[in-house]
Amino acid sequence: MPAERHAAGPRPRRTGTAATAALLAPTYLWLAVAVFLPLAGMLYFSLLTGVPAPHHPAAFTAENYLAFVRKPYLLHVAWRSLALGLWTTGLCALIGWPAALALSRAVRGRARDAIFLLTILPFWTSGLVRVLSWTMVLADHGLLDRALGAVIPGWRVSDLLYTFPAIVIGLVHAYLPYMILTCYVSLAAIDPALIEAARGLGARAPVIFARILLPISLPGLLSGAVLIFVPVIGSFMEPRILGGRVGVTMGTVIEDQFTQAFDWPLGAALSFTMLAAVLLLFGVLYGASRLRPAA
Amino acid sequence: MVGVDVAGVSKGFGAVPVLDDVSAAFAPGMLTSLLGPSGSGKTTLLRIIAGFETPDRGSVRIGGETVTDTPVWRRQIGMVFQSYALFPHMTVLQNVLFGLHRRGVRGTDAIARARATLDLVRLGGFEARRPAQLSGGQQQRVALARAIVTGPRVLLLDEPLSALDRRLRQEMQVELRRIQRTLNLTTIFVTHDQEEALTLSDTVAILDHGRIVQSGAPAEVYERPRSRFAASFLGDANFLAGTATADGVVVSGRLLRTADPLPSPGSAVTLAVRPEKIGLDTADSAADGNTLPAIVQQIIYAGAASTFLLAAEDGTLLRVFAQNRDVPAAALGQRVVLHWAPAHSVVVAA
Amino acid sequence: MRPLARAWLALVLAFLYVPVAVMVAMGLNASPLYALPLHFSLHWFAALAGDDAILLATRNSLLVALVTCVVATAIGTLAAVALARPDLRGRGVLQALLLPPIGIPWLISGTAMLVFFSWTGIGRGLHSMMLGHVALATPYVVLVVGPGLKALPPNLEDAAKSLGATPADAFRSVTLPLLLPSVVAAALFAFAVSLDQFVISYFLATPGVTTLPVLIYGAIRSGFTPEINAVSTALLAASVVLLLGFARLAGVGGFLGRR
Repeated sequence: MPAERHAAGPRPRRTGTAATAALLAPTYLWLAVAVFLPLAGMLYFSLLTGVPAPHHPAAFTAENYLAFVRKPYLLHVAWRSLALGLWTTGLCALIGWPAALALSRAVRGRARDAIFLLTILPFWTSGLVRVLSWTMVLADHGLLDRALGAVIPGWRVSDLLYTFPAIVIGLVHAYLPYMILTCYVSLAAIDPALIEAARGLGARAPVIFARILLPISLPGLLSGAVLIFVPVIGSFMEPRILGGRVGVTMGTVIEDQFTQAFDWPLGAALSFTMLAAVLLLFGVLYGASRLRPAA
Repeated sequence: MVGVDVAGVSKGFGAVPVLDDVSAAFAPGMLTSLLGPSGSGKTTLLRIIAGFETPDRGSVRIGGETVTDTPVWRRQIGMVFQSYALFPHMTVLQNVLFGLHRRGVRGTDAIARARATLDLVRLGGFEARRPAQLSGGQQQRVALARAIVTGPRVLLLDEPLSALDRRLRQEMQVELRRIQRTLNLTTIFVTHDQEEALTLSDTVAILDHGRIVQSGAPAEVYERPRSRFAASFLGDANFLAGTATADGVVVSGRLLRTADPLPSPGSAVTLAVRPEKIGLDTADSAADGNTLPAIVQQIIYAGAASTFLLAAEDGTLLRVFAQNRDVPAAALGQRVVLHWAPAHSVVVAA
Repeated sequence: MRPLARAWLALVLAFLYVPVAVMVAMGLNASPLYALPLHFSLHWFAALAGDDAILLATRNSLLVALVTCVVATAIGTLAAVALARPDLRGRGVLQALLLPPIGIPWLISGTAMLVFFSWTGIGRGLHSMMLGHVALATPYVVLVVGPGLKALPPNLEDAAKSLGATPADAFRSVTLPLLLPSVVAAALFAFAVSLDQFVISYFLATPGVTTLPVLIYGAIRSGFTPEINAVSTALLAASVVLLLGFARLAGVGGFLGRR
């Protein structure tokens, strides 16, 4: 059935490249204008001596990145932010992992769907509103004191609001759903038959925990930890509201540079230092997870 | 009734060549199968004819009109997909009406045509159902009705029966052939199922590595395969390697005759012989035509027929397919003589 | 083990919900001083109607959320369609570029926007909040619509084109109707993201132009009134309704946790 040839020579590729680009352009141009260019602009600002003005041209300097050397109290603040991150992440793991396990093993069917939805629902509601609610619970003679007093007359936890633990409580409340979600996703993937088999082989609960549940859910635990640690380090609204005078963190210091001190270059440099620290953490964790034999 | 011509079509995806200078003419009103293993380029060729892919080189003509740069929606084709691709949010009737509406046929006229086509595929009465409420075979019929209702110039089918079970597949083959003949529709059918290609087509084109290696009527391609690949992909074949002489081919010291033209004496030749063409005798008595002694290695009994696996003297393994008309006289380990007519020795390219 | 596990879950849920319930109760309590027992009253909600600052902030919040919802859903859906094309080059990079708006702490993106918008003359106010909120919500839209596209049966658009539909017609008459649940889910989500967004709005607000969360923050810091509880309760109720709608359309845990 050979046919005579009626065309030859290469032809231009007629693919939908232009159409695809047109579909992508609005989103990526928008992200460029509203996220990437601002980040680049802030990087530029962080290298200036001051906010440039018509009569006060700013010069380039690396001085802002030396803030931790020049202002030693910032080290103290950074340490408090780190402590806040570690406490919050640790407590979320201790509370959230067992909750995720309970959800994946002890509840079935529609009840599980409903409880799962209930646990993740709060984190899409206003964090601000939820922090506000804690001020009422933790305040002197607030709800917690009243509840405790009802159990044992005269018992109260005085002055919990405006303390470091108050900030941690508020942040754990804010970010616990992340940990439950990521742990649940990895725990739910475990085949129940695997645990039955281990039990059949005589494995006791601690062994099942250490050899099966924990290793398999480790990726979920780690991604939950990253998802919590990063925003907690950058939090400023929770420390301000729940911490009062003790609530000075990297987040609030950065916020101050933009809203009170108007030292934008310093605020920008602090932001990028924090971002770099966070990215470093990501990198180390990612590297560590890649070192593990294929899990 | 129009034909389809493909000329010098090449296509690569990135650095991977998929079609290599393919030319073919699909005759008007005929059903042509594109047969090949996966990765042979058969589906890509179909998608180029449909207009979903643009060839890097070459051209496509439908009814003499060059359509290489015509988009799919203006080519007036009908296509049935392997996954059926019925619109799940529409009823059967709405699915069939979709193409009519796009081609400007509306109202009662469109509905009458849709109903007539549904009757043709024997799905009258199913108009209000949704695709999810139909069986696989019924969905297949809707897909076919949707493709032919607009009166396409050519019908393209991409492995449309591969998702059906064996019995339903055979039933649909008959049905498809009936409808194609009724409408006299130029049809191109992609399949990897050799039996389907043989029973269904007017013409079979075998593809391998982006080229059409052979095409023709099913019997012609089956009886006279031109290459080792064509012989083994379409049906089963024994291959005997030998050396050409003036009279025939010498294979392990025996002269085997053939009806095919031979290359110059002394050059290497491969003969293909279909397993069912070979007779099996316990004595050298039936000595007309080609003979070859062999030892029975295995007998696979399958009721109506048996397959014998044998080893020739030079170690070549052969298959013989015999109807169980008489109880076969051969037994395991026995030395037998294989014999066949010279016309059944086909010279193939290695 | 099972009763213990369930008790733990109940405790966790109590921890998550009791403070919120307290706030809601306070918003509905007649007394301004958290007095118990509760006396149900819509007094504070009624007071909202007379508070011009709150009404204005509510109007601003709804306006920004509506614009964010419409724009982010439209452009995010288009991007998701492009990202789903099999022959797309650079898909990995394009998908990775969606993560910074979600992953970078809002404090950093918010201050970056403040610096950049002030510097370039875009300025602060509702328009720059919209600019920021859309950037924040669009990646979520892509993440919700993308899997919805992937779940569609193959070849539907090809089938429509073979029947004479142009690409735009094929998308409109086949893909879009089937994708609608995902698109609506994404729209609800985008609306909720914008409505609850505080940090970015905070940095882009000007003294006269605020949204509800910014107003609430200011009120908390300057000694709050029970009216704020009522506003917060209303805000909370709105997000819960939006998110339940989202969860229903996208499936529980839709894009994050579906196995």
